[in-house]
Amino acid sequence: MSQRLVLPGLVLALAVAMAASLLVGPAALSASDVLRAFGSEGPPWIRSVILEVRLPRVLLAALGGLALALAGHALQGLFRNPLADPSVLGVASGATLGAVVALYSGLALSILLVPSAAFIVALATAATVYRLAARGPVVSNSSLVLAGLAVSALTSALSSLVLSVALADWELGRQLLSWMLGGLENRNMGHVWILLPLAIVPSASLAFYARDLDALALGEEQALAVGVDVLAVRRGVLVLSSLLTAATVSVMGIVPFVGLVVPHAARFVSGPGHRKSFATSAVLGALLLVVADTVSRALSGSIDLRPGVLTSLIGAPFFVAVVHRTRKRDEAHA
Amino acid sequence: MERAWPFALSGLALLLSASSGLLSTEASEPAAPELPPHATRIVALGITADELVLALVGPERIVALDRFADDPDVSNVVEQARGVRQRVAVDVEQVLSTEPDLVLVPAWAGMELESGLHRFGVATVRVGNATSLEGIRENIRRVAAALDAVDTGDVLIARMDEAIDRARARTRDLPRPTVLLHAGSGYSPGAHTLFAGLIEAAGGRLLLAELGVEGLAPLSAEREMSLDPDVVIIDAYRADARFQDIAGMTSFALDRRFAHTRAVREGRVVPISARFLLTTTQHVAETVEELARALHPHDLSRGGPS
Repeated sequence: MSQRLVLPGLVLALAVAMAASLLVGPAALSASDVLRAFGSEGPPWIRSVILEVRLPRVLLAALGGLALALAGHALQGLFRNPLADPSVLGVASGATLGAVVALYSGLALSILLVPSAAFIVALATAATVYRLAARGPVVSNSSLVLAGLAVSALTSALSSLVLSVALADWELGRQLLSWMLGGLENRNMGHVWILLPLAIVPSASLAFYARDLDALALGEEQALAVGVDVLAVRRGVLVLSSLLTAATVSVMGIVPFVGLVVPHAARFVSGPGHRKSFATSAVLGALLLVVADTVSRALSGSIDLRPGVLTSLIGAPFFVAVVHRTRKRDEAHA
Repeated sequence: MERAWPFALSGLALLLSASSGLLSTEASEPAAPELPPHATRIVALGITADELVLALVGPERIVALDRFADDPDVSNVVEQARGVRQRVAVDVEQVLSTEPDLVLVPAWAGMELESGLHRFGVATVRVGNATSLEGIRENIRRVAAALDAVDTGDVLIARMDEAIDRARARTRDLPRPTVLLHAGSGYSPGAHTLFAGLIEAAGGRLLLAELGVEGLAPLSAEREMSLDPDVVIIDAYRADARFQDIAGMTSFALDRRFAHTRAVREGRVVPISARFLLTTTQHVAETVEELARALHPHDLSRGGPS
């Protein structure tokens, strides 16, 4: 396929996947039911199922996939490390801690409170990681990764502590576990409205860093030599990636591997330039999560299959392939 | 000079997110619809709700039950459930597709489910797992009132209490063995749990409760061995071969670590079906019967008092 047709092709595939996703669910509804629901026709319960249950889920999957893929892509570019993903700064585990504490404290009285708590703790975690890694205005990549690992380990341990205590109460323990597994069930348009600005605005803003990240790919000294303000780029990309990750995880929990796998696929399809591959990543990320969620809904019968399971099943072999390819390349260079 | 616009835009996105989230009608908590005076399209979610609704109203008023209603390992209402055709999971879409007028929602379900149903004008009643006999009575009264079946609820409570009182009377003068529940989860009930009340009614002494352990608490193998109770109750599911096939674990009685404990030596490791151990409804009367027989096998026979 011609390079020029790749992105339109992916956009078309995403549109088809989103439309197909509206047809999948526990209630057996036909394509005409779906169309009638959009035309405000048909039984009210069918309109509700399509417009208030399935549509928000499809939109959230697309927005979440887009946001996670772009966050991962930007971080891989910033750290010049193909294994970087949105979890590297501890944002995802911070969001989990916020959510489990909110649930444990009985704050789940409103559907807004758990995502809000997750989001606040996620951003606080990102800020902590940044402060720990910063030495004056200078922040090295290795310090950021190490600080991210340390804070992530701490927040994960605290989440496990809360879960351990909560397990004595079966009802509460089950709610916590369900959130930690991640998923899109029972989400509504309120969740879409929360995620929409935080997925779109930072994603669009990241595009303005594409040239800087291209320069950074050659090394920090080379980037400085061509006039890139490396510190400013680092701060900007970190803030935007953290926002994308925090917003997504706070609404749908952790969905692993999207931010790790999709950027590789996007670079493979569109080349290493960030401007093109960012767009490809965004569409591929949305496509992956929409498909994963659709398949998980189609397969969910007696078990509650989460989309994160499918993204992991796809992502893990891909990850192994990346490691294998990197090793072969290193051997060839040696 | 450092670019400030990413931060300004991020701040704007945060503001937009907060305001659109707060202003969206879906995010604002819809008021819970009033309960229908006489619900005729009831959906029960969770096995507790299944057991309550089938005892309180006829199957013609129930449109769907939880999918576990037909599982004899956990359900005490397999027979009665045959009168209701549909099965649903805890999922807004599945529930809405049955066009219910009242949904009994399990306490462990997330807020999103109840909020989602309210948005579509469907009334809900949250059904928790009771942690005491009085809690069960309260649950029955509350659900019976919601289903317009107050008198049936009173009868149900009276029958449960009578059955428990009968078991209590039969075991009153018998020696009270010490008991532990060896659960597959690694957690065991102590004081202020339903199980403690059931063991007391069945003529036993729950060891963890006597030691002052409150609620459901972790119980290690080492502690279990050192406590050395007269009787160990285990989930029949854990005791039978299927669990060993699935989990690759030996049952308590076959576990070498417990070979020298009193309960194993004296053959007093008693499997009880999970449907008796999990129920938090009027069916606990049957659980007390089972436990009483397990604790006093020589004094009580299956047919009644010895």
